[in-house]
Amino acid sequence: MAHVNAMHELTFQPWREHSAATVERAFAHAATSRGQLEAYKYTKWDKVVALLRPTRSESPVPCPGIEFRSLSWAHDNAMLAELLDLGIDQQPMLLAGFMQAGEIIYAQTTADARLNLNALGGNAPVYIDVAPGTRLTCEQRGGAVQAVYVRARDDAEVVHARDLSDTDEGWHGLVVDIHADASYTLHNFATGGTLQRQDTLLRARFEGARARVDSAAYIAEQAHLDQNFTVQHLAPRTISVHRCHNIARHAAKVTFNGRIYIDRDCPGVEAELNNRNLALDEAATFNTKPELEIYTDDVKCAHGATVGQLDADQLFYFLSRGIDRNSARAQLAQAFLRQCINGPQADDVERKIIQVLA
Amino acid sequence: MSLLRIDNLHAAVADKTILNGISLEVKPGEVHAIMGPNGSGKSTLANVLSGRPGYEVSEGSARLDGKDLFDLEVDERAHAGLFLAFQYPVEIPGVSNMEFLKAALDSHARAHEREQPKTSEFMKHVRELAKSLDLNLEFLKRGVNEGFSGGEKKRNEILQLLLLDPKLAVLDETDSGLDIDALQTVSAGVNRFRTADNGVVLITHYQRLLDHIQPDYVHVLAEGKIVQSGDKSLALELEQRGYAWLT
Repeated sequence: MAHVNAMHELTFQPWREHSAATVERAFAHAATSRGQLEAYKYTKWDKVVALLRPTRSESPVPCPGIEFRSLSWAHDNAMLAELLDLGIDQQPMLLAGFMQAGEIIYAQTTADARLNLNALGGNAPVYIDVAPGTRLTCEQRGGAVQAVYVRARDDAEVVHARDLSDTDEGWHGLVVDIHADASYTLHNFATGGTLQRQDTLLRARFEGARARVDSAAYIAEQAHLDQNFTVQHLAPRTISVHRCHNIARHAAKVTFNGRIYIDRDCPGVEAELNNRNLALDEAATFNTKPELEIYTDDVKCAHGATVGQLDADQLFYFLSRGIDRNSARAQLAQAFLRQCINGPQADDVERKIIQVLA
Repeated sequence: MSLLRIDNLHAAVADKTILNGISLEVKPGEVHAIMGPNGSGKSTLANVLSGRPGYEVSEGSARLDGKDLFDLEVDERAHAGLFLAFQYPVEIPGVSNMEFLKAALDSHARAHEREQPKTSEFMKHVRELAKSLDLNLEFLKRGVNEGFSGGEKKRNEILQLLLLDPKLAVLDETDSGLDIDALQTVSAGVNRFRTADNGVVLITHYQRLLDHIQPDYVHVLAEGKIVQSGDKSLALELEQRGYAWLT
């Protein structure tokens, strides 16, 4: 099978009692199982796996407030236990991204800090451990493959800005564990790329955890953006807000699978998932599926998805003030994305959307 | 010479005829109030003149300063000097009011081969206009009409009117949803706009607006036609007698 061949190009570390061969078989089985139909419906499993590349790591550039060291599956299984909890049946691709051979870069904050992931060098998985009560601003730009795990401990505040606009083809995996009264915010931006796959799992693990995702993307030509977002509420009174605005034109394709999961005995959870898609012409394709899976009664949960064209009333308003049609369309498209653009990279990202949507 | 000349205008929406032969002439310096019962075609007239999609002109003509409006695209009509103050201004999140105003003003400058205003001068001018309309300056930073109250939206329309300084303003029920203070402020803005060279078509349901903006002519529209014209006294008569005696 194609996916098995693709997997053989990579070498995975065995973990627990499993052998590497068992792991590979398990991945193949999980990814083609009924539970993963949607996640691999529009980009087949073998194509996603083929995006993975053997990892390489370099010595991280020293960063104030952060200590670096290496972890390995062989020696640090206990520390990586929460990653193992991903469950091969639930998140095979994320697990694959973290399970590749080689080291995992461990970055532990000791105070408020700013971390530039690109300065770490290479594309090895990164484990970011944010100390209680500290604030971390993390920036990430481009790069073909990167698996990132963030653990925001109690009362920590993490702002993660991720600009993947210069990536032609790649996979980006992100797992975040949010502890009590901690917050995590992702500012996500993407453009272009033959195939960009984003697998994201946010876990609000303890009471008071808060997660926010603002995601904006523009793709054109033959590009395919495939986003898989899951937010798990595993404790009472946790909050998540997820807004995702995507634009496509030409023969480009956007896939969005968004899922909110609320565990048993989690009263007071508030969760919102909103995916809006804008087609700038008739050839663009959108596949969107927001899902809820809720096992507690006393929660507030909203989800929605729309696919449409530029608002005719807004366009007419622009034209009626003398603004020509092309400028009006460009400004309205920019405005659509701008609603989900903020954070540390906002100025750069705004310049890019003005450029691509001019 | 006419500023606006409408002859025998017929128009339909979704194959339903709404305008049944309207003729109207507005000369420079004049204010024409158009009144009429619901569904008489008042807003349709505004939309047809401004070129809103979905409105089909089957017969007749409309010329602005000698130019055939129906030969022009929507933005070209604006450049020709037409301004529509919307009854329900749309909200546009993500485009700041200031950015939108600058884009509009720049487009007019380009169309008329004028130098685009310097940003500092433009901002100073917009702030002055906003203050004159009791519009909070913070609103200029927000998305166009985003989260504005009904009254704030109407003030914002008048701000645009004053900024763009068109030849002809068509105000589509600008008084609807305004409290007494806002009505006075908006009316003052319209009166500030009035000169001997421009014109105003004022679409309204209520005589009270005409206490603040004195019209030269009042027309009653019914079933897509002007059925009665007169001076301001006609509006007062309508207030007392309603429309039944005219339809």
